[in-house]
Amino acid sequence: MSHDAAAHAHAPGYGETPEVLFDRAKMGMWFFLASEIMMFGAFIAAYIVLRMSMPLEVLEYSKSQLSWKLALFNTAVLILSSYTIVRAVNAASKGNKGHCEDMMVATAALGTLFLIVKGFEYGSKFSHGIGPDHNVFFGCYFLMTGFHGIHVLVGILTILWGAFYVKRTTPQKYAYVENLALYWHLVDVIWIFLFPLVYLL
Amino acid sequence: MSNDSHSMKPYTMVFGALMVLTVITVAISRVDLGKPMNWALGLAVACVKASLVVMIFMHLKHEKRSWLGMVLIPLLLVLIIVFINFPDTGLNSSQDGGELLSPALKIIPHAGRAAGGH
Repeated sequence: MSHDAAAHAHAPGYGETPEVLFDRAKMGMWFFLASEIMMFGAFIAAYIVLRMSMPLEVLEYSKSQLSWKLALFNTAVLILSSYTIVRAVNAASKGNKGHCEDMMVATAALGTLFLIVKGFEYGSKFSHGIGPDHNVFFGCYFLMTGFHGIHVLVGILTILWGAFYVKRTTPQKYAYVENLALYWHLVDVIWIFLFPLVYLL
Repeated sequence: MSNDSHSMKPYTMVFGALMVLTVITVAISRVDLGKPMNWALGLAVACVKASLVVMIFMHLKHEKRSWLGMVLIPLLLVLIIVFINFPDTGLNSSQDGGELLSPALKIIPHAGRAAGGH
């Protein structure tokens, strides 16, 4: 005991250097992301299974109601936003706070653009009388894209909140920027799968 | 700037690759290669894109090797939940669903007979 205490006398607690704390914060985030993978995985599994047992005419009709061009635009927007948040993390690791803040705001703006396009897409569905109860395909469609949209919204709000605190960030303590980025990338990864599964195939 | 972990160059290249792969995804889906081939290629490209984001953007590549399990184990569970349902619906719906191998299994009608028969 006394030997350990002496060995770590320079750091509080049990070797809690900034690097160790950073690592723990990140690991916690990855566990959360694992649970997100399983949640969206369950939705996608349900969609695949229901889709296979769906009458062909229902499937063809439902697919004809979707616009893959809007979805393609949205895909590009999300990938670009993933790139801007990577720039934010990179700037934070160099202590370049101004650039980090700009890039986080840019990411939130791109996320908002995604939601606006999504809103128009939902609007055109609703104006044609297509809701989640229209048929089994649109039930899955609204469940998956809706939950994804909620995640985008949460991402926008937390990233804006994070941008507010960038001033206090140091190159050793930017774990929260990194974790916001990890969350945002996961939202992007989920969309990367939803785009072909829902709109293209 | 010369420090490897601080360089933006790999990220910019991945960004470009993701955009190109997105166009490729759309291009594949516009060509009719037969349903299994379209699905296989479409999902393969999506997996490549997701791996790029996870390994480079989320730099899982540079984390402890064991952290890969936090991604792969949930994915395994998802695959189990997909494939465990195939015998019930997926592989038995070529008539009703018109998609795959054999006619649909009629599971529900027997429930009515069992209830009425006793």
